[in-house]
Amino acid sequence: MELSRRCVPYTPLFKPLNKMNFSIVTTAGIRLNSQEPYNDEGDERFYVVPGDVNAADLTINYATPANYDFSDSLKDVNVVFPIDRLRELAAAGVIGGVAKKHIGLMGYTMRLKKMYEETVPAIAKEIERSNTDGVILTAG
Amino acid sequence: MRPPRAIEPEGFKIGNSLGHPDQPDLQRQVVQTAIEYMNQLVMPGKVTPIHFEGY
Repeated sequence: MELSRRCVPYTPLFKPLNKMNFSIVTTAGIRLNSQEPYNDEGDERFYVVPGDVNAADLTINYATPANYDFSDSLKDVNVVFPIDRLRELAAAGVIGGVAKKHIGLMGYTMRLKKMYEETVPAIAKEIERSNTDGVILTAG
Repeated sequence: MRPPRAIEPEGFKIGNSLGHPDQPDLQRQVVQTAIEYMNQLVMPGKVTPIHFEGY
């Protein structure tokens, strides 16, 4: 996927919301308990979180807790990763469903070129290859 | 950061993107609002502030 450096990408909607599957992409430092923690000094890796994940199996670690207080997220991950809320909206018929993949990353790194040229296109590819119609982005 | 479509819940602190812990109704309202705004936010990169009661 080619990403423009100048333009903000914008894709018009072609489906009604109640026919769309949504995934979450978050830079809040979300990962599964079983996944290796992000590097405190910066990390451009991302993790795929399965669509059927139990919120209790998620945790957070982040490089700069002084700049991002994630204590509330550890009590209730839905404050930055609203997986249970999406399921409720799907059950209520507001959206079509919850996608099979979500993405977690820390997003904090000094290696911006690698983030821009490798990580972000790889995330876009993961999303494109899933059953996702729309993405909820959260920054933490 | 210039997302295609963005809302900003007014007054929410960093780390509370959707609200406080154990406020499922508010969290759901914020997510639903963001989703329903997808058809209304037509200026890429513009962040739209929205006030939510109960935060």
